[in-house]
Amino acid sequence: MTSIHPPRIATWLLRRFSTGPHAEAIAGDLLEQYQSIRSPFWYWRQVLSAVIADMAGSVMLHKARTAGALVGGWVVYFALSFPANAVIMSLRRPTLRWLLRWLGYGPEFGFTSTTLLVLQIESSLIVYVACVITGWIVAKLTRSSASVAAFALSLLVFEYAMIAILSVTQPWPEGATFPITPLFLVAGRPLSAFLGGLLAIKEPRRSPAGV
Amino acid sequence: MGREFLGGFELLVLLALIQLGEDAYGVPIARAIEASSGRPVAIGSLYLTLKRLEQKKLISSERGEPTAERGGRAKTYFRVTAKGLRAADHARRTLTALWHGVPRLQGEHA
Repeated sequence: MTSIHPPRIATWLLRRFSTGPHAEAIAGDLLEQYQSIRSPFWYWRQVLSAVIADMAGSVMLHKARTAGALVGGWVVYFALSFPANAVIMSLRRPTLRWLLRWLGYGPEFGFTSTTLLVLQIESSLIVYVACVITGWIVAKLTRSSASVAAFALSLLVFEYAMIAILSVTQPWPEGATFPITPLFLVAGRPLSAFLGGLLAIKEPRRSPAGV
Repeated sequence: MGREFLGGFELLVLLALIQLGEDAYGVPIARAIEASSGRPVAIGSLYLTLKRLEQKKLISSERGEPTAERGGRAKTYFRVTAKGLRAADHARRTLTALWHGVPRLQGEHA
């Protein structure tokens, strides 16, 4: 039997990201309709469309703020790429040395598929930290989760466009497989930026009687 | 003053509000549109349109009392303003005039 309570995570998402003047009415309407429909799938679809509509509406309404978030976000992202790269470069050699020792290889071994993967993950984690800081700054400047989402979306588009351009323009090494790992790791950048924004923006207060 | 054209969904929402009168809040508005158009209505898109109509001052909103069946969340009631009524009437006259100029559609019965 389907519960009379809608999915909790979806309700939390709605409370967290639906910030317009009718946010409470939207949540109430969805709960009221859920009592008769009782389909978690329907509820999730409605919540996601409500959140996206709310964010898109907010972006359209505050175009100057969104433009500021994009410009500011990219300036911070670019500025932070220098210290992030410096940290990545300084950690590369000691990490490789430690890895080779841990794997039981001698120091004459250079890069193996395992060491390359670990180094890739390590550098990605450092970039994620930079992205969290960037998202946090964007959110502090704009106080809007929609602006942070717009910046994160621009980051996603940019990073995948860069991968697409490089894969077309760079000669493909013979026998090389499709780089699935970087595709996954790059997706963490916009997600980290969005997470950073969430950390900076407090959850909107609702009446205590709410679900 | 230039008159703005109403979008297709905006007109549906406005007409549903006129039809519902005093009891126009999210759920009945969505049901009224679904019943007449035969298409499901997403609450998020509905509120986006309501917000736009409110910004154009074609409708106004008023917060109701929180109720237990809605998890303690209040309804928001919407009402069509005089400007909204004029816009709906103008849309009706525009559509009627245009339909008069359209020859009988293929497959349409007399």
